[in-house]
Amino acid sequence: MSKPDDASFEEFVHASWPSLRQGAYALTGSVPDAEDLVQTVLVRAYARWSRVGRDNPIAYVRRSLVNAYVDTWRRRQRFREHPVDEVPEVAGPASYDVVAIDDRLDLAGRLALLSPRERTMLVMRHYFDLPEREVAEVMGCSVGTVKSTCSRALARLRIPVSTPTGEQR
Amino acid sequence: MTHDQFKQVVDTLDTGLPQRPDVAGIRAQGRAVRRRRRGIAIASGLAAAAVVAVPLAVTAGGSGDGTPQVADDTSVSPSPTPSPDPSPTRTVDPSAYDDQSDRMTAAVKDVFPQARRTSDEFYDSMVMDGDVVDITLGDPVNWDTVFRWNQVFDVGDLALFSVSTSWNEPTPGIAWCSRGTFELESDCTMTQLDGGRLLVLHDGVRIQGQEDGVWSRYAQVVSPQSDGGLMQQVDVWATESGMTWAAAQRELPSLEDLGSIAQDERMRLPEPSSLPELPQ
Repeated sequence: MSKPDDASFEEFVHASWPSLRQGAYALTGSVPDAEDLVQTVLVRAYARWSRVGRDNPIAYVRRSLVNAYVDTWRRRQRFREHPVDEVPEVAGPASYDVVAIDDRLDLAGRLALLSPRERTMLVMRHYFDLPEREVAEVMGCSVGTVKSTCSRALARLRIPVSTPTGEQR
Repeated sequence: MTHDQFKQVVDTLDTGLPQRPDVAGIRAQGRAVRRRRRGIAIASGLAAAAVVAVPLAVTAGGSGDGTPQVADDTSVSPSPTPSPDPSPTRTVDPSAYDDQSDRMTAAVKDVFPQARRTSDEFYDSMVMDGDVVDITLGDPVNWDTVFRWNQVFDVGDLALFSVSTSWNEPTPGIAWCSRGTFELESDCTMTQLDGGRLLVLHDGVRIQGQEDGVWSRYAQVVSPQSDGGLMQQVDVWATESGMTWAAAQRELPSLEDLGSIAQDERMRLPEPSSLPELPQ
C-alpha cells in the first residue's frame, strides 16, 4: 500500500475547501453538521489518497459529500428540521422578486424549508455542477425528475424583497 | 432564481466554518482510518481463516512474567445446519439501517456509559488497494451488499475499543480457538448459546505483526448459517498498548463485559442480499 502523497493532498484540500465548506453548509444548514460532513469526506479521501488522488479527486469528494449527506438523511439522525416531501407553495411572481445577494441569510432559511432531497439535488446540480444524469443516479430517479425538482426548488428560493414600508413588492 | 444566482448566493453564505482547513488534523484522522482498516482486515482474515500456522514465540506454561500461554487447539462450530438452497434474489430496504448506528452504540453504552463514539462506518464492497483487498463503501451505496458495520469508541484510557458486526461466508469446521489464529493468546474459551450461536472469548491476544506491548481482549459471537447461506458475526475488541500483559490485564475491560456486548441483539446487522464480489 503506497504512502499518501501529503503535498498533493494538502494542495487539493486548500483548493477544494471553499466549495466543500459552502456546499456542505447549503446541504445541512448547520455548522457542526457541515463541519462533520466535510471532515468525514476529506478524512476518507486521505485514507484512500493513493487511489483517489490519481483520478479526479474533486469529483470523488463532491460525490462523497453528497452521498454522506444522503446516507445521514436516510438514517434520519442529524436533522434539525423535519424533512417534508412537499413544501408549501410561496406566493406567485407578483409578490416576490428574484433573490438579491444581500438576502443570503434569508436564502439559508429558505434552504431549510426545502426537503433534504430537493436541497441535495440543487446543490449537486447548481452548485457542484454535476450532470443531471449523475444527480439522477445518486438520487435514484429519472433525469426528468431532476429537472423538474430543481426547477421547482429554485422557484421556491426566490426571496421576498421588502419595501421600506414593510410591504412586499 | 438562475443557476448562476444560486451558485453566487451559496458562495456568500456565512457558514461559520473556518476559512482554512485543518489539514494536519484531517491527515491524522485519515492515517488512523488506514491503520484501523488494516487492523480490521488482518484480524478478520485471521479470525475467519484460523488456520494460519505461525511459529509461536511462547511455549505452553508461559515465562512466569505474565506472558500469555498459548491456548490449546479446539474446534467447535456453531450448530451445524445443512446447506440451504440458495435463497431467491431479494433486495434490502435501506430503512432497515435507519437505527443501526444508534442500536450498536446503545449496546456499548449500556456496558460502558462513558464510551464516546469516534467512528461509525459501514461497507458494501471490496476493492484492491495495491496488493491488499480493502473493504469500502461505494458511491452510491449498494444497500443490497452492506455486509459490515464498524464503530470505534473512546473508553477511558483504552488504546482502542471497537465493535464490528458483519456477514461472512460460512467456514465449516473452523477452529474458533486455534493456536495459529494469533501470534500470542493466553486463553480461549467457547460457549454454546441459545439459537445455535457460539460465544468465543479470546484473552491476552497479540495479532501477528503488532509491536510488543500491545494486548487485546476479544469477544466474538458467531451465528449459525442463515437461510440465505451466510453467517453473522459480531466482534468486540479492547486493546491496550505500551505495557506488559500483567498490566494490561488490569486495565482492559473484562471478557464478560465484552461478551455481553457481542451477544446483544442490537449488534445484529440486517442480512445482505449477497456478499460483495471479491475484486479480481
